[in-house]
Amino acid sequence: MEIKKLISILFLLQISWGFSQTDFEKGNMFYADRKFESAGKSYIAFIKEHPYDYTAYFNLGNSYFQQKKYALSLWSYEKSLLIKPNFKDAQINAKKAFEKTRQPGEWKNATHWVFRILFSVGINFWSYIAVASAILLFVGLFLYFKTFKSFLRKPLLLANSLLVIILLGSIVLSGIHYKRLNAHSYGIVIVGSSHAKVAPERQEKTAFDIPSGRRVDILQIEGEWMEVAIDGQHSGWVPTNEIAEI
Amino acid sequence: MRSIFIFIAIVAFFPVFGQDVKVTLSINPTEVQENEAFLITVVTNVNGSVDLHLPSEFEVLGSNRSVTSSSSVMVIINGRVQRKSADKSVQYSYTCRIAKAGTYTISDAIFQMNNKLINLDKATIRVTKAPPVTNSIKSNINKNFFGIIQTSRSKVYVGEPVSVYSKVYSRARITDVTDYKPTKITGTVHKTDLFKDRQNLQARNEQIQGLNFQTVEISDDVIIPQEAGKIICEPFQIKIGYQGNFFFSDYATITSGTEVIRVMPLPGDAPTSFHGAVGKYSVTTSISKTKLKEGDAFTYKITLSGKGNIHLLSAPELTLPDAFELYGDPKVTDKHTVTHEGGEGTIEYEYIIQANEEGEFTLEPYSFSYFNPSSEKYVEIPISSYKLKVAKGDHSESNESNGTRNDIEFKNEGIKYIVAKSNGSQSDFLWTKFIFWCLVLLPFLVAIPLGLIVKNRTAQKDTILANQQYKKAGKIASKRLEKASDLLQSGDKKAFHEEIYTVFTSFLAQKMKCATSEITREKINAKFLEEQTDQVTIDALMNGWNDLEMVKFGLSTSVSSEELLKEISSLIEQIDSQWK
Repeated sequence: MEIKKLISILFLLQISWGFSQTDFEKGNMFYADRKFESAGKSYIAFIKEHPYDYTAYFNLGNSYFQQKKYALSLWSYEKSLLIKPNFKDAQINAKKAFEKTRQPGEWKNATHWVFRILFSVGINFWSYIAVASAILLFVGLFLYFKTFKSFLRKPLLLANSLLVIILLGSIVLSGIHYKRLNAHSYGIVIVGSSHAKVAPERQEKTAFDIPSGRRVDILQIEGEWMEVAIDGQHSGWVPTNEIAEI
Repeated sequence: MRSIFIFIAIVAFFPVFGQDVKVTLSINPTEVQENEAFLITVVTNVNGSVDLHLPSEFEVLGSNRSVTSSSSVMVIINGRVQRKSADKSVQYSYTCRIAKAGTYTISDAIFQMNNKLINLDKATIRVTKAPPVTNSIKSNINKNFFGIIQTSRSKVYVGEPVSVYSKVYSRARITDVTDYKPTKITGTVHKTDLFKDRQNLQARNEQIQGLNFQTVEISDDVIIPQEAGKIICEPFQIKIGYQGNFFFSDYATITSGTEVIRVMPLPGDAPTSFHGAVGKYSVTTSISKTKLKEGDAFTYKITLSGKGNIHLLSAPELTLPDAFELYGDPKVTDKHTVTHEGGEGTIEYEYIIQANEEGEFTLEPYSFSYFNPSSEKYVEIPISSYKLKVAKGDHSESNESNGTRNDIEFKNEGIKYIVAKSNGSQSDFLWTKFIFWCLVLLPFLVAIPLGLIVKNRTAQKDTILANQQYKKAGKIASKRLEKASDLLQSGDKKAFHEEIYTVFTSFLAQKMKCATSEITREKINAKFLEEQTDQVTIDALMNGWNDLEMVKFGLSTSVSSEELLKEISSLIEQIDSQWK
């Protein structure tokens, strides 16, 4: 009787485990079954709930890569690297996707090395540092006033000053990290070839062509048109649906 | 007489000998609508007569001849003839119209000069069908000014282009057009503006139901519906200036009516190869080579030509056998223009495909069909298939890929495998949360005020304690002096000296509200001055203080221990009674 009970409990647990599977895990299962399109959809569903998950972007990039959608896979890897700039696997795969898009030159990480060091520690790292230093500062200030006349006054003042610097610095870094991830200041051409026009009109002259997978700087968006620049020099207007923002 | 003869002749009715004869024939504009007036002009530098031999469809509404310059000066000086001439230009103008659409050529026009006939170059005019006199025109025909929105079709299929233009009609001559608020098109459409020069609007003369109008086209769009339903072209508004009384322009504001286009869904029996192409198309494909080795790449090119929604079609997706791999996205060469009938031209898609396995294969990677709105049917275009022979290649690079093609890690692609676990715990920025800002501002908003309160309270407590000690200092000292007296009586002089010193300094510290270590002679003096103590007490205290220090440090003194006890006891009483 007891064994039967145990088996039924285990069965229920298994069912509940099945239901609690995340879209990320579903995506991985589809991927392992080589159902790359379904895998991609699951990763996208997961990303909607977890917009700063670099692993989900990385796996999405792999599912695009396997579907031969190299420009989109490059976009996914770039997105993953924006969140975690020193993510080695994403760097390797981005290089491969870049080669597949048949662009001249070689792929380079879009993030400056200083930012790579500062922002490869999780999106909330600097916020946690700020909170921790705020709590320590709270205690430090309290002790400073409490022991106003004692010999601890000078060391406490020094420690509190240091904590203020750390607190303000980590708030600023946290803000920069947030802005970086939400600036959408560059993007990837996801169509075969994008014709950059001299003005935001389909009838306008083509200023230059941008190949698939090319990284472009986004200067401004006007309705269904986006002004982009390549190499920081040439600028032109392309339809927004031809560029995936990063 | 060797005189100077000056002979001036104004040659107006005969050609000047030796002068080149120029005669040109032109039509302006070269494209008009039915019954729209146009001008035929013959320009020459000599006099003569023109016979245009116009086709019977031409109706001449009026003609005119003008001469802009016709002078020639001959000067004879001492028998030498010199001629100075200005250019002469004679212009013959004919205002005509044609009632039927078509292309007409003036090919037999002749210019007769004296007895000489000159055949003029041909000139052609294209007459397009006049837009039908729609209900919106008919209902406004009796007005002096009105505006209409004209659509080329009122019922279309999804993806079928429709031309939409706005036009104003005026019975008076239009002198100005201003304050234009364009029509707003509601509905899911792709719109292309075909208007060439909005800054330089052209007025045309039209005759509608026997009435002469001057018209100005103010917008010209082609729209392609993306969804079934209704497209509503909401009214436009414009202010036109027209020639009124005297030399001044009067202004009238025109508001057009609304136009509705019904968009029908495409029939449901679409073939599997249909991907949204509407219009009329043709497709050709080509392949760069049919014999290749494993690992070799070849080019597969699709050329799509036609008109309709060609410019809105996405790049075709190829279906390849497992042995082939598509390399990157296609290279697109787009040669299309947008006209009133939608996108028109050619788009080329060039794919690079790699052969990964040896063998013989039939390649049919692409199929295409479109919906023809005229016949209301889907048309499937047969696409050529290609037989490919892939020979065994050099396996130095492909050994790994053959062995791992079905492996889960797809090592042949050289990419890192997916991550097994997500880092989904960090789903949002703490930086944007209210709690984060509460916590980081905590030290500044709470700790500093709290610390200041604590500091003040501690200071208050210290003050109260000091005041209490100040008041009780005499009593405490008296009690301790009794203990010192006991020590003296027991004969322990060292302990007595230490006790009496401690009693006195503690008393002074309590009275001066400071620590015993902070007591100095200077401080005691300053305190006495502050309390306005009499000089006798000050001297006694200084003496007592001297005696105490002497006995404390073991130096000999003239004062005995009993006398010292009395002296200090008396001093404490004096100070306590004076410093209340």
